[in-house]
Amino acid sequence: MKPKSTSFASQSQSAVPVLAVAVLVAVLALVLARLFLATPAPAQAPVAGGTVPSTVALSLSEPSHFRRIGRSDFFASTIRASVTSTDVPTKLSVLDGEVSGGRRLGHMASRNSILSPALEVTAGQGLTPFHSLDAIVPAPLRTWRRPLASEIVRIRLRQKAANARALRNHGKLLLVTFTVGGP
Amino acid sequence: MRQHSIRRLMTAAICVCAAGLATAVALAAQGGLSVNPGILEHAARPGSVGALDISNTTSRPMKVSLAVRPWRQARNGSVAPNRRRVLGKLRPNRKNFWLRPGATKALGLRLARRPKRRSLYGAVEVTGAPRYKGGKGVKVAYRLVTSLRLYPPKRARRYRARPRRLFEHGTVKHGALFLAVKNAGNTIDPIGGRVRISGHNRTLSGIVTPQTILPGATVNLRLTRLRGTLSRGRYRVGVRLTQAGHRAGGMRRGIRLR
Repeated sequence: MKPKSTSFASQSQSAVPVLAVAVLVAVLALVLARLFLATPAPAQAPVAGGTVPSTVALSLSEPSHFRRIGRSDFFASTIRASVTSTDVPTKLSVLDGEVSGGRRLGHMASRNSILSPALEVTAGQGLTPFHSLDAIVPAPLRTWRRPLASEIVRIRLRQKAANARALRNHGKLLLVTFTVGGP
Repeated sequence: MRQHSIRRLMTAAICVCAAGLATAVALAAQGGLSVNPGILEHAARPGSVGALDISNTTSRPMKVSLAVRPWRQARNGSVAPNRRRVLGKLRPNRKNFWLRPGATKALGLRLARRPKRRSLYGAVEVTGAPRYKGGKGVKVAYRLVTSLRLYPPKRARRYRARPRRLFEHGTVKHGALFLAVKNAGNTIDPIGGRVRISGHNRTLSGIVTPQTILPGATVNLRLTRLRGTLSRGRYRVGVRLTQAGHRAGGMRRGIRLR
């Protein structure tokens, strides 16, 4: 029993510095990555109170990889959008960024083939209906009637395909549109 | 045993490092495109009408294109930029350019000549496409649509609303009475007013909810909802339209409600 307890003690004593070093390395890597990869901070410091300059901003994440929904033929992908606007009303919509009409409108396509049916899009959680991207007039996904500060919206994409390989061979440029105010 | 536990610890440390790096990359990639100001307002005079600051806060170079387009308004009042046309009178300093990561560019807008109506309302469309390294799949680009309002001088402001077609949608039990109104003035102040429906020994009066109508555009204004308060038959409808506190127009017409 005695040698066993001794070996355990020595093992735990040597493991503590290793763990500390590992955590230190992780923190250092995070700080270095943040320093080198982060976008430059705005020059102006935030001001408390006063007037707010009219501004509009849209941030988008990279679309996630398409994953099969359950056992269905549908594959889903997500884009995280962050919207900021001082003016109202605002609306978010998604449209085809490659063509504005014709057979390829809203469809994922390669040089000589088109995936059918068209790509579908919705915003938000739950049972919000999907809108087909082959519509000539795109339906607004979300509308706001209040100022927004880094409001997060989850844009969900859905594509019907026989397998994931078909999706890898086709592409589409989506234009995420944030419209501010009216006339 | 000891070597095994050290190996496990090292694996855990590498995992933590990778997670940290992935988070940092995700944070860095979460930049975007911003335009300042969201609504550009100026008097409609030839010459400079202001500037837009366009910023690229992503970690990739972005190809930015700018277009000033007219609005297109549907009969229900909804507006969208007309993607087939551009406002030729308005000329930006540059239409296409590359924006480095973290860079901001100020773009001036010039009005070439005085607009016919003495005012001009348009949509400024800023499109930003980040540089991608090729490959297939879904890619995203940014499109920000902001508003440009060039107001007429105070003395040249005209408030005119021309009533067009008066029609009933639905029935007297579940319906509404609409009046198509054209904004014949040169401002975008909302057009509203008062309505008076009389006939069959009954009179119904109400307020017409003000609605923004683009100069030259026609929108169906809902005068009142019909919820069974009026019976079928002929009525006289009187409408007085107002805009920014000014009398903009009016009409008196008969209608048969079904």
